Amino acid sequence: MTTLLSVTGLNVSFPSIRKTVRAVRGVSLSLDEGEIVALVGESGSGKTMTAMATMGLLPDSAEVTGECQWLGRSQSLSPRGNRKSLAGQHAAIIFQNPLTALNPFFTIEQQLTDVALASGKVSRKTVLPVLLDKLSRVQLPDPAQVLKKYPHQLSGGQIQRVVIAMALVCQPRVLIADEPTTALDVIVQAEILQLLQSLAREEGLSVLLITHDLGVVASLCDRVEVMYAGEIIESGQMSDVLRSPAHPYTRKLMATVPDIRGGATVLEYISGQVPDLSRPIRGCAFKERCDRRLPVCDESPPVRALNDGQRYRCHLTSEQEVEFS
Amino acid sequence: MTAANMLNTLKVRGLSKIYQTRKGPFTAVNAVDLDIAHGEVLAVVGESGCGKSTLSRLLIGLDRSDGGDISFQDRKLYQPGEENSAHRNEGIAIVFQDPYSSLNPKMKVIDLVAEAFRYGALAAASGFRERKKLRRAKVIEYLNLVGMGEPHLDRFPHEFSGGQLQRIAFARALAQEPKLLILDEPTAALDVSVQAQILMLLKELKTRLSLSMVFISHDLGSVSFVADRIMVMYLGNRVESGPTRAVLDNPRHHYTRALIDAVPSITPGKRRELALLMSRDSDRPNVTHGCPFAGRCPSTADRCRKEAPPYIEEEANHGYACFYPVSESQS
Repeated sequence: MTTLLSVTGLNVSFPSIRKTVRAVRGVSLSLDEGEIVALVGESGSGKTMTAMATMGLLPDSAEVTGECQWLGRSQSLSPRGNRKSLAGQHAAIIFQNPLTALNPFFTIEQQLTDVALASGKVSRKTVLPVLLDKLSRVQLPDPAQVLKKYPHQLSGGQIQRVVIAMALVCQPRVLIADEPTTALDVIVQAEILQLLQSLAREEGLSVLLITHDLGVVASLCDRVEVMYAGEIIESGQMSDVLRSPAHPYTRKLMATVPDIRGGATVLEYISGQVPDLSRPIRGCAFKERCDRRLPVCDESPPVRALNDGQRYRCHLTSEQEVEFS
Repeated sequence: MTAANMLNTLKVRGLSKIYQTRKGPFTAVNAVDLDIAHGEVLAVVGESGCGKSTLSRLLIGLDRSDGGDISFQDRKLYQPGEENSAHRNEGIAIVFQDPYSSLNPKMKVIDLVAEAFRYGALAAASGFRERKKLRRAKVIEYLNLVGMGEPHLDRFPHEFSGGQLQRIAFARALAQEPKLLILDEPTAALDVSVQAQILMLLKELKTRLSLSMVFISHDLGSVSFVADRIMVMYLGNRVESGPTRAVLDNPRHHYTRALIDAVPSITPGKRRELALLMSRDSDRPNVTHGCPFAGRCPSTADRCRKEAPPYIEEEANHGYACFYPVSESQS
């Protein structure tokens, strides 16, 4: 397994005159070939910021520190002046709402061609067969017809396939998918997830999947990183984390999902709100909303490791956790 | 109130809506029947474009139907000639999907909620000052119902989180003293942790105020948590309906089955290969004959393309429209 992407100690902050918002704090993650890693968390937890910083897509006003390596080669994370970055060569990103990712005034062919030529990997002469190939790889029936259409003539699921094809045109090794199915309904969601899975299995494409849907994580991902208030608070193999979540936040998050099999008469929920990231956070970021709060939580929690590679950032040891549950 | 209308708050028969488009008529809602008993929550599920939002617009009177009747507490609604009547949808309130766009950003919470008061709601007080006091007190009362309170009164929508805004939208709907609450995907724009709060609020309102509700959603997890009964719609048609557990545990229509299979479970290791349906074309098929689902169904026969299956009611009000239903062993 080659490590395609590794990020260590990523910090993203947005300084302004009155305050500085620290959106991402000390995030490290890595992505191996053919692996699907989920970045999970609620809105405002810094998932998208992590992805954007890795891709070098943040505006110049952002302050980004940390190290990033694409296939072993370092890449500066500073948003200023690295538009032609390694990220652009090795990775592609797809965004949440496919309907806004495409320009309504141009046909699919025009838009895909632009991307293909800009990537520098395809010449104008060979572009058409490449596009047809990518569109059939995302299982769109009749690619030649699709190329002639405008975005409004396609359904949401079809557009998301086009957007994935557009990402594949750049021949990426890594695909960053930012909530790719949130705007779609369940059956289409299942189809898109299956497509991402087959791309990973058959073509060795690595996927960093940003989502807040634990169901999506469980059905698709190999590893999971749980984010809260700009930090990764738990990480590990998907089955370990979802079967035996160690951090109280992960536990709570799982308990909020209503099960289709029913039986629950009460749903747990996480009261309170995500802390204001423009203020310094003393100790654990989750302490205000945590029902296992201890006096020691005012100090910064250690990262604890469980024997199977599962890691979490909390004062509670796993034995204490077991006593509680 | 007589025993009969205690049983049925809302009764809809043969409700249809046909939109005239450039490509010809498009049937958004096709002869839908539904009943909601007093204090009952009916979930309407289906994919985007299946007509569930159109149905909600018809129920609240935002759109006029092209056939069929809506009776609410023994009164026929939206009859010709009463289009502009202030009482046309009295007793029915709606909460929309996105609280960020359904609340006016220029209005304070107190005004947002008080705006929804019925004519005469403040008649108990005489004089401007008294009325103002009563208005404030009543708004606080409704905010308390949804777990908010006095400190929020004079704030603007931008000062709240999505979950709080949705609570304000609920307070605004409750201020109309409805008997029937229509919820058009009330949690779709919210985070999972907040979604759970709203679902708990819904359950609480249901027991405390014994409201009837139409809960429109495509999230079967939330549906199984709050709903008493489910109606599954496909391309404007009612394809299956029945008590929540019966429909989810023992679906008879192949579309319901597919919907249930498509829900990702949070239990790892349950990765199953989905028996995927054929994707729908972007041109919404306007099925004029045969079963609307025939084009995507795994067990389509010739008969399905020729005649539309009738809606058959089985035991315990569990009904479906299919010639070759999913057998119990399959589900």
